[in-house]
Amino acid sequence: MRGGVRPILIWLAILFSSATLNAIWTGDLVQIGMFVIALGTVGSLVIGVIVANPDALRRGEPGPRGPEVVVRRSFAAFFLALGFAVFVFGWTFGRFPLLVGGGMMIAGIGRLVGEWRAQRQAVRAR
Amino acid sequence: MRFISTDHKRIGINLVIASLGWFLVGGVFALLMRAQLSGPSNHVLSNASYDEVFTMHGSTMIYLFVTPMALAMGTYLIPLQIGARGLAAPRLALAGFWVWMFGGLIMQSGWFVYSGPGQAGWTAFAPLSNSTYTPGYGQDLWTLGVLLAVLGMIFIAVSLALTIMRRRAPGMTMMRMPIFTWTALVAVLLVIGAFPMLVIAMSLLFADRLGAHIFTGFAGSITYQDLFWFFGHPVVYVMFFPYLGAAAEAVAVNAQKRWFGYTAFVASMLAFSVLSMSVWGHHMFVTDGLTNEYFAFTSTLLLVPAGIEYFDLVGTLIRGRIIPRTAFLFGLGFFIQFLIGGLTGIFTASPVLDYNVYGSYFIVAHFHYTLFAGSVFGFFAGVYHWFPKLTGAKLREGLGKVHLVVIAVGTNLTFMPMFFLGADGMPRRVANYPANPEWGTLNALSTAGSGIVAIAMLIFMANVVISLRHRIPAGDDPWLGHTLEWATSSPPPPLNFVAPLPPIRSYAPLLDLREAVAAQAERAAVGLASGTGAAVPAQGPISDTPPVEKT
Repeated sequence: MRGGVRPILIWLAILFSSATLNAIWTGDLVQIGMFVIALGTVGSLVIGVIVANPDALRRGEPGPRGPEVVVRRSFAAFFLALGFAVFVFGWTFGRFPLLVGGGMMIAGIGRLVGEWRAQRQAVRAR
Repeated sequence: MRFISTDHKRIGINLVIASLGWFLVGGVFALLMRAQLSGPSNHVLSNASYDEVFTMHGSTMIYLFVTPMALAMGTYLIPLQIGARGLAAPRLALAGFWVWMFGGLIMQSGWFVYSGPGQAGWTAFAPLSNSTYTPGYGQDLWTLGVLLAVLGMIFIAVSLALTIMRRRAPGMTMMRMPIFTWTALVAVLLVIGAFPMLVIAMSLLFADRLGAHIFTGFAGSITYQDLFWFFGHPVVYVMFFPYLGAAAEAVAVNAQKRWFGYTAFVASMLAFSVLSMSVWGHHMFVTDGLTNEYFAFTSTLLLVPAGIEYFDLVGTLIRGRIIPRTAFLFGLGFFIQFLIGGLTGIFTASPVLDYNVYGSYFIVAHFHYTLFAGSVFGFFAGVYHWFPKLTGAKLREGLGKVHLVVIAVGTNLTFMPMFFLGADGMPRRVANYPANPEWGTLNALSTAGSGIVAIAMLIFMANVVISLRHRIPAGDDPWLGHTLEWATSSPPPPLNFVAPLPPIRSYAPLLDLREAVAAQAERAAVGLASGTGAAVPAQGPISDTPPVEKT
C-alpha cells in the first residue's frame, strides 16, 4: 500500500528537533534518554512497516486491495493476556500465580502458533 | 464468543462498556470525596480513607476511563472511517483489551486487601509510594495494575497505528483521512512514544518497593518524576485529541460544512502532539530539578496549534447552516469549556505563576476543566453523533439537551469554585480544612455541583435505556455525515462495507458526492431553463435533504 508512513516520518522529525533542542538547552541525560526511547519505539514501528511494505514510503493513493485474511476470533490472544496478568499478579502474591501464569502463557503461545498455522494454510488454499 | 472476537467493532464496544463501568466507579469515588469536603471538618471519610479514595478516583478516571475510552472510539471508528474491513494485528488489540481489563481489576483489587488500595495519588511519586511510606499489598497491586493497564493500551495503539498505515481504502491518502482519524492517529503515536516510559517507571517503582532503592538511591526521586511526567503530560493529550476530533466532526456535520482549514489542522495536530511530549517539565517547576526556561518556552508554544484549532472552529461555524442538535451543542461546549482549561494552563506554563498555584485547588480546577469539562463533553458529542451508527437507533434529542444543560451547570458549579479556593491557597489532597467561611461556602457549592453532575449522568443513562428499548430507527446516515462510516449500514456488517465505497477524493467523500449531485442538478436546471440541457434526477444516491428530527 502506498503512503502511510510519510506524515509519521514528519512527526518523528519534529520530535527529533524537539529532542535536540532539549539536549542543547538542558543537557540532562535522563531527559535525552527518554526522547531516544520515544523516537526508538515509534521509529521501530515505522521501520517495521517500511520493511514489510517498501511502497509505504512512496507518494500516491493506496491501490486496489487484494484478498485479506480476516481473523474473526482468537482464544490465544485472550489466554495469553490472562496468563500474563496472572503472572504479573504473582509478582506480589508469590510463586503459585507465577507458575500458573507462566504455564498459561506457554499454552497461549502454543495456541497462537496453531492459529497462525491455520491462517497460513487458509491463505495457501486460496 | 464476543469476548474473544477480533472484530474491531466488538473490541471497541467492549472497551466502551468497560470504560463506562470504570467511569461510574470513579464517579462514586468523586462523590465520596465531595461529601467529605462539603464542610470544614466532616467525618464521612477518615484521612487514610480519603487518601485511598482520591488516589483511586484519579487512577480510575485516567487509566481506566478517559484514556481507554479515547482508544475505544478509535478502535470502533478508525477502520470504518478509512474504509478498512478490520484492524491490522487484531489479536494484538484483543490481547491489549484484556491486559488493560485485568490491569484495572488488579488495581481495584486493592480494596480487598488489609492495607487498602493505592494511596499515594495517581502519580505515586517516589519516595511517598515506596514500601516505607506506603506499606502493604494495596500499593503493590496499584503499581502492577497500572503497569498492565498501560501496557494493554500500548498494544491497542500499535494495532490502530498499523491499521491506519496499512489498511486504508483505495484512494484514501493520508491527507484524505477524516478529522477524527487524524486526531486518533496522533493520540496513538503519543501512546506508543510516551506510555512505555510509565511501564518502565512502574517496573522500577515495584523493584523499589521490593527494596531495590532506585529512586531513594542512585537515580533519585526527581528521576521518577521525569519518567512519570514524560508519560503524564502526553496522556493529557491522548485524553484530548480524539475527543477534539469527535467534537470537530459533530460541529462540521451539523454546520453542514467541511471542517475549515483541514491542512492547517493536520499540521497543527502533528506539531501539537510532538510539543505535548516536550512540556512535561512544567509539572516539576517547583522541584528545581530541571531547566525551567526550556519547559516554559515549549509549554507556551502550545498556544499556537491550539489557536489554529479554535480558528478552524470559528471558520467552520461562519456561514454554516447550523442544526443545533445535541451532538453539535456538546461539541461547542467542549470547545468553550476546554478554553477555560487551556487559558488557565497558561498560568501553569509560567514558572513564576506556577510556584504560587502548585499543589492548590487551582490546579485541580485547571485539569478538570480540560479533562471533564473538555474531554467528557467531547466524548458526549461523539456519543450523540455516533450512537446511531453503533446501535441503529437515535438517542432522544430532548433528553439529550436536558442532559447537556444539567451537566454544564453541574460541571461549572463543581469546578469553577475550585479556582477561587486555589487562588485563596486551599491545598489539594487534604481531607479537612480550617473553618474558613469562604472555603466552606465554595466547597459546599462544589459538592452541590458534583451532585448535579451525577443527576446528569442518570439522565444520560435513562436516555440510553429509553432509546434502546423504544427505538427510533436511525437509518444508515441520519445526520448527512461526511465520512465513510456513514456509507454503510447502522450497525455495520461484519466486514464493515457490503456495497462498493464511494470515490474518495477528499476527507469528506459523502459530502463530495452530495455536492456533485447538487451541482449536476443545478446545471441541469440551468440547462432546462435555457432549453439546452437534458433532465437529470435532482436527487442522487445520497439524499441532500436533512432528515426530520424526532425526539
